Amino acid sequence: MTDPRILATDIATPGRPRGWWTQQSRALTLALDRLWQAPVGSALTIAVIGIVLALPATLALALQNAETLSDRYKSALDVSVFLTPGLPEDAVTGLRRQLDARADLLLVRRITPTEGLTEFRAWSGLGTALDALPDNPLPTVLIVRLRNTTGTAATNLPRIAEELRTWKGVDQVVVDTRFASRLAALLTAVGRMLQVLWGLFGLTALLVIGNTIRLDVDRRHDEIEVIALLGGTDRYIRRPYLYSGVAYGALGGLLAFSLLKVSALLLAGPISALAQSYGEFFHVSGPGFYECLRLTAAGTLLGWIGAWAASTYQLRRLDPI
Amino acid sequence: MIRFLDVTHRYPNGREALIGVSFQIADGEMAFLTGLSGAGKSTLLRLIAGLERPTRGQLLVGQQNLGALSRTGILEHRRRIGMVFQDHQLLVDRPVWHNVALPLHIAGYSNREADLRVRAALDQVGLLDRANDRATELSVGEQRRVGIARAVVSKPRILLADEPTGNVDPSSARQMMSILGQVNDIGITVVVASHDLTLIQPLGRRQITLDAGRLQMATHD
Repeated sequence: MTDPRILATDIATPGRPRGWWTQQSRALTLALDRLWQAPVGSALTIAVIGIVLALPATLALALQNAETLSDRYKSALDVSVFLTPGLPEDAVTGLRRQLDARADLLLVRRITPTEGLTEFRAWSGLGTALDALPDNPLPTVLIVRLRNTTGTAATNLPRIAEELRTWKGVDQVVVDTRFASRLAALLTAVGRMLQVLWGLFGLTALLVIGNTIRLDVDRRHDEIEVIALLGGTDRYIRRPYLYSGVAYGALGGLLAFSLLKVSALLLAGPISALAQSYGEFFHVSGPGFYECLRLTAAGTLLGWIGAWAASTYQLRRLDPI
Repeated sequence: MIRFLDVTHRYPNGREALIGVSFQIADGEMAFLTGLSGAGKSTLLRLIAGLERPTRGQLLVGQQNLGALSRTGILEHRRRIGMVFQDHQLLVDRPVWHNVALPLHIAGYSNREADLRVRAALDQVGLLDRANDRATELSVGEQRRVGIARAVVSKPRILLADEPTGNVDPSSARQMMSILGQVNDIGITVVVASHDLTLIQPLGRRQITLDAGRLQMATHD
């Protein structure tokens, strides 16, 4: 037998809800319980979100690996600055200082006339003929590289080449701008495509979560009405749905990471073998801790936004008060 | 103190459920609303509970004019009121314990903190042994008693009961009235809507009679 006098005692602040942590933990427990009560539906929702997040993440990973590979061919973007033949050493040093002062350029290498002739002799096959020359006709060459070769930076190459031509002591500037422009355009296009894909797939995840929550709110109309009759605020009613959305999103993000990891593992072997057949060594860099964090955070955020929008819309439509 | 000052309530379909009603109920009083079906008893209770707002006139509960309260204010008012609904309004897929604890959960109480009060409320209505059963597993009378336990668990200022003896056997009805009397004994103002005069009259409590939305008679203690 319990003590009936306990009912005669007032509860603390009956009008104003208290116990923030208690409210949060109860809402979280309720949300996870609801997910657990409908395992098939929850698993399908999480699977859809996981796949939707994994698709652009896979492309991003592929692009990241492609950029690593393209680093090896950055020399294609090098600018060869041919100095006036016979330029005195102090003038060469002055030009080097000018280049060092530039934030956008990096002096990769200086090829002296002697080094140039040796290289030319080695690959041209004109060894004996070159010996017949009275003087070394080759100038000093400075190999200059753009510090940033990503995005649209490479499109600046023609302008930079034009500027270098005007420097005193510079005879010729050679750059393959066509290749540079193509590479820049390709990188820009793929980057933009990735942004569009993130947008589209992010929207899809948002809609999937939003629709799941909307149906859940609709299904629990009677329960919401009872809570509103007893004075439960919109915030109180909405809280478990927000946690459901966050759980869908976070678990979807983790699933996306797992799919990405498995894909990278499956592709690593064949791609390495392909690279080896071209005499190259290439190792596929798989998703790491930060990708896991990013995908989970993206899923969580999308889940929260989707759940908030759907539950707010539905509560306004049902208008339990 | 509950004060109705020339209160009229018209539903969106144009039907006037209450017309120019004025009376008052003192703190700690137990009063019965009587009248035929459609007389406006339920509407009157819903107005006190803040589930409807007066179309005209003033309804004061304590110092608060319910017609002027904001949405937040109305919800806060509801948390201070206990109501036993004619159609129970229970969460059918939850255990009895959870249903009774709901007002305490809304107020931010943890299960551990709520436990003593929930047990006392269930004990008072004789359903402590059914705490783990789902609401759907109970009879109509038992569901009504769960509704009473939920209404009193947070010690509201006012307890409103809409036809609490409807669809229950005479023995259960008497038990229900006895429980409501005990609730009133601990200082809670109790307002009960009922058309069952045979149950009400022997109790000798105040009766407020409505007829087609108008106040017909208001006896005093």
